[in-house]
Amino acid sequence: MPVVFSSVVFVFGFLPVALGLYHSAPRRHRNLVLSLLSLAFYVWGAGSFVLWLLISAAVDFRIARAIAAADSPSRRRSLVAVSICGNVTLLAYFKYLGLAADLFNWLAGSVGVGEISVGTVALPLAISFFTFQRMSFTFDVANGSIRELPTFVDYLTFSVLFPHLVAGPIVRYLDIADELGDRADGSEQVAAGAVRFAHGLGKKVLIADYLGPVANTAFTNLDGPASTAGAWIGILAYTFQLYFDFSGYSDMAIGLGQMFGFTFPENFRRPYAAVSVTDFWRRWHVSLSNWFRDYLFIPLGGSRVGRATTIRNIAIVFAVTGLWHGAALTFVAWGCYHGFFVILERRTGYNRVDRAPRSEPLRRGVTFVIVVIGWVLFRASSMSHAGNYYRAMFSVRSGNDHLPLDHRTLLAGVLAVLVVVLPGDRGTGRRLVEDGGRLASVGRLMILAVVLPVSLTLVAVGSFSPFLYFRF
Amino acid sequence: MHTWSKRTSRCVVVWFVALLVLPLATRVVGNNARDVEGVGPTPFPGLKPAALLDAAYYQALGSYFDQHLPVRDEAIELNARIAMDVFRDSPTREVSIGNDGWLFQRREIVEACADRQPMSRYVDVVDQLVGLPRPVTVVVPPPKLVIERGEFRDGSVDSSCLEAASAQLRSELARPVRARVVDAFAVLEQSVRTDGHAFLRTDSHLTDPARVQLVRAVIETMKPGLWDDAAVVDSGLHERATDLRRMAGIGGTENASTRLVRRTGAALSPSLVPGDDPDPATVYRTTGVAVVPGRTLVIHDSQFAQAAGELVPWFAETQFLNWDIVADAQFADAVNQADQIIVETVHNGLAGRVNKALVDLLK
Repeated sequence: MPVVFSSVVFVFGFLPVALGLYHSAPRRHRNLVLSLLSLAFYVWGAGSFVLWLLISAAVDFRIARAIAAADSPSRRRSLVAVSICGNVTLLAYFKYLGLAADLFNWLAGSVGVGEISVGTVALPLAISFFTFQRMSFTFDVANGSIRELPTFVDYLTFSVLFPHLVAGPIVRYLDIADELGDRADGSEQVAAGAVRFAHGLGKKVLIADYLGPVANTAFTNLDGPASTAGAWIGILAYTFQLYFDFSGYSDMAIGLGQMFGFTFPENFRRPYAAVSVTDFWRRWHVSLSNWFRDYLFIPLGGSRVGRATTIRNIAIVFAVTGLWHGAALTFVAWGCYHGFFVILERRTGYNRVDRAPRSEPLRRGVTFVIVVIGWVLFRASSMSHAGNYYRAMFSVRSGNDHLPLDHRTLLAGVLAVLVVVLPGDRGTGRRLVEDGGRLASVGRLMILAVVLPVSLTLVAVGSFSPFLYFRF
Repeated sequence: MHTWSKRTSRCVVVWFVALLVLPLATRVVGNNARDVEGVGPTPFPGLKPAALLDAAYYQALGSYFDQHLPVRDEAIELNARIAMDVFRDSPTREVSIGNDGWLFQRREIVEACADRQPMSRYVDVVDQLVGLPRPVTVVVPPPKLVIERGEFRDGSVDSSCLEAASAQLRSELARPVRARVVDAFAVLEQSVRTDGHAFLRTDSHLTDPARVQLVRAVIETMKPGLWDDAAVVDSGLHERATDLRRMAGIGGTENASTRLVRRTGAALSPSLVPGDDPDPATVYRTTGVAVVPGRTLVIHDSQFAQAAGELVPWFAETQFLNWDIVADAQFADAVNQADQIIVETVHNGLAGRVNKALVDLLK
């Protein structure tokens, strides 16, 4: 189990200790202190995999240095291939071996060949995130974007920095290269980071955690919900839970980064206000979208290689995007579903954001519905589960799904809708930190004086798990 | 980009850090977390250099840290109070709130409605027990919601399936062929008519008067004419800690009338005071009064754990085993040495506990 930012151990234990150690360390040793703190953070959730994290980082760094020192393009290409193949192979082994075996067995079963068994492979915590971060470093060294290599300690700090290690944003070396050498990390940065962290924590524990049980209940039954209304309420709850959970986590990561002097890239730009699916991907998990754009879509030829090849490239990117999220066919199907709409929008010109501004509310609504329907694939435990859920959504059923819709859950739902339908393209967390003016000041005050204490109270309460028959 | 003045920034940092370190600071000045879960605090896993790369060790440390966080119990109670008093919600998914402070266990309803324990399974199990050559008396106390349905008001829960399941179970159990089944439904409904309620307002267990009535029904089933109303003693109102309040996180107590069974002239060895938990390794012996002869094994749930001290004076020898904590070997020994058996299980635990292995064992 990873140490999540909204846990008692992190908030009341690790974070104050980390802030104390970091800010009391001499400036020249702060990267080392951060690296050690990050490794401790990783050990807590992943145990001995920390050795693997360290060794693989050292190997990647060594290869990157060799790439930088290579005297011929062919040698550089060979070294890049070695590094990328190594990372992709390890990622494939740890994360996708089970899926590959399932697919093989499915195919083998249809032609009467025996099955293979791969057993259970323990998945190193956050492998998808740090593998992509390191691969981007290798690519950027190879293409000359990184001209001056960091020291190993600075490289380690970049690749294992605990605020972004477990769930992103996917930070590239160039995003924080300057800050690794010299950064402002005084009280102004800590204060701004505290507001952003508190905002993210509030999104997680005040909204996402209340909506989660509704979605979980709706998705409990593998035959699908008992009622059509229950199915739609369940998937809407999941839609908002996922956004507030993930974007809240990103806000916390960005805030933590600020507390230690780093400026991480934004990860969400109010995605449910998107006017097309293409626009949605400019706003949802932005650091991942940008990664795939720069290191997969463009190297494949991007959109300047003819219509058919462009469509192929988009299809590949979205299939891989789905696969990145999880080793299951449901995730691949979810990626392909989005890829289909992106291709369709590209062919029809619907993807242009500035097209027909007067129809924007309608386009937002249509996009939102498309995205919501897609989340069923993302949340379902199997394709048949997803199929059963869709049947419940698009047929007329009545029954009791026992959704835990109490008053606090309804309030969280209203807050979620309000936050999503507010005008503007920047999320509230970013506006709170960036904006001047009275409204933003009141917002910051509310976050610090109300949301933070309430959220911390709920963090402490979160571990409450009483037993009924306490006498035994 | 907005920037605060240095002074404001420092104030914000102090406020932020103060909130983070407040719990630990209160520990320094003496606040120690209470055992709000009711299962005993997680022990400190120790400092183990050999386990420094073991994720399981850190999980144990995390559990310890969670449960020993100072002011955690105050936070739990504050959250529960706000949920109940401001939002009129239950503070946890485990508890449903009813009228006028009544609390109910939500799991009873959800399990019955999920149809995980079909009625045929219940009845089949009870039939197997009652049909055994060794005398077995079965007591299935009905769910609190069924007996106290007038106090239930949780709109988010449809309790009709639980009530239907209970009604069906009751009609099945009431058939004449099942003579050794104590009709707990009838006993508790009579208790409601007599005393107003059969269950405590904020506890999943019976009131003292209802429990005494159930004990009486069991004794009369096993040896008609043995029961003596003179053994029933009232001792006024008493404060008692209740489990559903604890589950909800609000702690505190409930004022409830106290009624006990104390048989004059009965000598117990070793003694067992009403309200105390029985020791599963002990055989309690009663002399000096007329009793049910032989050894009686009581395989019990929590209702009869509270009644242990009231049952013992009516049996020559009594041993108590709790469903949840007894080891298989101990169970087999106790069953083999018993002359008759009382099985008490709450409604929602029946099918899961009384399985074929137990029936085979009882043979």
